[in-house]
Amino acid sequence: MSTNETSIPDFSEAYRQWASQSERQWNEFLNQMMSTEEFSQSLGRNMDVFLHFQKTMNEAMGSFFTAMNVPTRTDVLALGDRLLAIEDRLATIEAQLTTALANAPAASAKNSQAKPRRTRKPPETPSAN
Amino acid sequence: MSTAPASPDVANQVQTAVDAIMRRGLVGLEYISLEDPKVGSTPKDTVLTEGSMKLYHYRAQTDEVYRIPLLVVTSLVSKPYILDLTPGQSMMEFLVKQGYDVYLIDWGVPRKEDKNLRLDDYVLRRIPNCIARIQEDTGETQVNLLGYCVGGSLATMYLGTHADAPVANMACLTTPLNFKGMGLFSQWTDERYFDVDRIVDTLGNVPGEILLSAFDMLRPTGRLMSPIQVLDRIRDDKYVKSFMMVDRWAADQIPFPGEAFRQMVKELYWKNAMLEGTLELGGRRVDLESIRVPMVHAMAEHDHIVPYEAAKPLLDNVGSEDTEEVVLRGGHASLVAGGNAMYRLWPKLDQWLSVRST
Repeated sequence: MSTNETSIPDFSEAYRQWASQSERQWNEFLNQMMSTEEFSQSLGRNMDVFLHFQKTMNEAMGSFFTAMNVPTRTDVLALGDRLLAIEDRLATIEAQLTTALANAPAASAKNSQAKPRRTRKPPETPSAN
Repeated sequence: MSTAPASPDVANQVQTAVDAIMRRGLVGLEYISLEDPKVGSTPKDTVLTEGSMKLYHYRAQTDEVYRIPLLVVTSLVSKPYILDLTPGQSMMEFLVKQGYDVYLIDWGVPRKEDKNLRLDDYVLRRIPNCIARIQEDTGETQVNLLGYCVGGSLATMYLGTHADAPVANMACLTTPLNFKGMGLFSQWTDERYFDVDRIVDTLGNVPGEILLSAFDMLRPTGRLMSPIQVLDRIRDDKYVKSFMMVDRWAADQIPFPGEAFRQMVKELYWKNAMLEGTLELGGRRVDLESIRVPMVHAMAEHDHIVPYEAAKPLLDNVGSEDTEEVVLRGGHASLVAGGNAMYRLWPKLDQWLSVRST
């Protein structure tokens, strides 16, 4: 039986399948490799080297700044801590003020008008249970 | 010799594809060139600030809202705008339009000074403070909780340490409980090789770059294959836009507070203390059995960050009798954002919450 239609392979679909399969296979392979004890050990070692470098740098910079009579990072962080405490207190005062204002008779009447009613019911559908 | 004219169908298809590519090129350039894409734009007010944390209240868009307010507890690992990506692709916008009175905790980007924040601070101080503020704001005694990822774990810890918590219901989205089931993360934090004390003592907060590398390593070919997948669906404007927004979110990694990281690694990864029932925060044991509120837990079939084995035991270990487990197609981010979420998770969540919010 002959036909006038020529079947043309769907290259885009074939490519899609190939890409998806390749991705899965590579991920599986690499994940398997990274789940070994040796990999965890090497990751730990690399992290140690990085942290050692970081610590040495921090100490060297700290000594340098102290010698130069300039605040170190630790000094700046300590200041940051104090600022944070002030910020927290300000936020508490702000919250108390907001509450006090909201509870004032005029504001309270205004708010009760502006806020939507809390009476919404779910649409009539079969129960979710 | 004559040549057959090109089929009008083929010509039209080619034309459509070329048009889409041109338009996508322009729109793509717009996304790429934007320094700070407009995310998290559902209208909201800040009703509480504590350090870098903010409690947002989304403005109602309906005349009537459900009686019980909804508090969304976001993850510590990432920015919360995955839940409010862009108009039309925002879970927060959806919930507000469905008539929920929504509050969201944005933990903020940890600053250097936040390195001392522990899980105790989040669970025993910040979440209760937020709930108290909501009670004050709404006049309601109870709230519903919705936790995403580690946010779900924090919400669970809160309920497990507060037997008298004013919580009516809890919905969790891809929430880890069994940290031995966290796949490669469990391997990489192996107690014998992972010196968490040294990391935290040296760096303070764990830098976002380290976390981003770890997430990238979970799917090593992701960075290469994602653009290829986008090219493949270049004609689907919604998909491309959604992909670009989610991709940008995934790369927008924030640091993790140092002490909380130390606690997570030692207590959750090494001892699996939450599942074992031995986790203590501020001297209080996290007692999962004491959690009695109705719960739903939605998980993603292809979640490579919080695998099914890590999330599954949550409902099996709480004391609640009214529980529902939902497994949906998608991954960790696409469960909550993008096209999949719109048609799968959001309606399901609405169906479950609406009857429990009156």
